[in-house]
Amino acid sequence: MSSGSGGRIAVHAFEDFLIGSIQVELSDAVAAQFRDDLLDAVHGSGARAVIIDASGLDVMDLHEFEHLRRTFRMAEIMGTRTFLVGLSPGIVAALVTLDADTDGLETALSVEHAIDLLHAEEDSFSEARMSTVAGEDDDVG
Amino acid sequence: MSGSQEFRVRILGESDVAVAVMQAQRYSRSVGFNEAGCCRIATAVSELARNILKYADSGEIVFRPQLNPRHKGIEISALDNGPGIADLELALTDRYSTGKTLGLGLPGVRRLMDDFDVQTAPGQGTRVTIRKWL
Repeated sequence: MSSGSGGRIAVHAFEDFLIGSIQVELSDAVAAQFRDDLLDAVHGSGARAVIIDASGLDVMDLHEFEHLRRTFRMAEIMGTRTFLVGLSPGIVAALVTLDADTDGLETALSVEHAIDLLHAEEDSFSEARMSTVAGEDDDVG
Repeated sequence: MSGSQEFRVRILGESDVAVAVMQAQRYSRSVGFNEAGCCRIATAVSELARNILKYADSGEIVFRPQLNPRHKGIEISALDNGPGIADLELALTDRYSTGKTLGLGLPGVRRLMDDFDVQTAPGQGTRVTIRKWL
């Protein structure tokens, strides 16, 4: 997966997630490459969540944010959840001040936080499923 | 006690936006803004630089750090040779007031900064000047 011009956002598989980290400037070319790479990776892996780490960025403007959101929307249509994590306080304040559309955007403080959240959801889903199955028995607490 | 310096970044292509953003962070930091302040300033510069690219052949971002100890801050101008903004009032209108915007993001840029003014006329380009104080 070597880069052509100017860098690329690499996406790695981890458990049943895909994790990517934005380390380079989100130029139009990089954003388009990321979109294509991510959708291919989602399609190929069937990952249940994509976690994109923006903690390497000092600045994100509306244009870049909207690029990311469109890519996320595409991944969601393919059936995976998307998380944007690691946004700095400065970036969040600026985006909200610019009236960025954050409706429906799932976020977390870090990749670890997102993974913990996803594990916790899966655990409670499994517990709910098991107690439904066991619900018929009298002496199951 | 002027003797203020000026630093210019020409905006001709997309890579210049990133340069302007980096310089905005650099000058803001040197004036003494904290991270959030630098980020706001750099984001405003990014928006203005993108407008130059979108609507004009070329332009420039001019940084003027204000180092007078009693009034420290930064002044930045975004100038272009584009078509000018025909309806400035609409350009400065928020989505909330009328439900429409001109898509220049100027109300947002104004909110990010302390001072904001625009000089423009059809056929005469546009100059947006923003200021933020410590």
